[in-house]
Amino acid sequence: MNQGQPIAILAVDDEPGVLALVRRCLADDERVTLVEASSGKGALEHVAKGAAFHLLIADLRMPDMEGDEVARQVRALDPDIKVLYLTSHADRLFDAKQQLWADEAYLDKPFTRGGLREAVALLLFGRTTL
Amino acid sequence: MSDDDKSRHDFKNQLGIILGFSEILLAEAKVGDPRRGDVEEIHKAATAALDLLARLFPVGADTPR
Repeated sequence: MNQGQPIAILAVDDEPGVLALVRRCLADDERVTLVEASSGKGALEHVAKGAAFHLLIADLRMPDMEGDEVARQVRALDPDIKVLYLTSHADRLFDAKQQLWADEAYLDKPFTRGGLREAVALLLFGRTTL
Repeated sequence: MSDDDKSRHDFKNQLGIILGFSEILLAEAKVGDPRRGDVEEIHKAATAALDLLARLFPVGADTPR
């Protein structure tokens, strides 16, 4: 995708403060449309309704559904979506998930605004600036 | 996820929120803003708490003490 075009992002985390931080990091960019969900089920409902997203930002560990399961189900509906996992312990990431697929990355919490924006830019544009 | 893992995850989440927002406030604070020092203290305390969490309850420990 081109850097000037609109960016649709679906963010899912069961912690409202993390979603607020993601919003603060990204939503001041006028290209970004951010849709938030507080559960895996909620995220899937947005996609099932037909909403199209370029990127899924997902907490890896949530009470109702692991982030990689959310990604697997979202991909069944939207194979082209890219995925950024947020994880609190990257050194245990692969206990839950055996491998990262193409178009996936992870970002360890706590993250900075710069770190999140860089990760999003790398996934979407292959460069470090949004 | 064990209860200990979940507690560690939740606590780290909260510290991450404090760190993330305070980092943004510091980046946006103008030179000479008198509140800058206050936010620096919040950021320092949250960073110290994160270090403390890692030392007291390392990932992989069966039971946090």
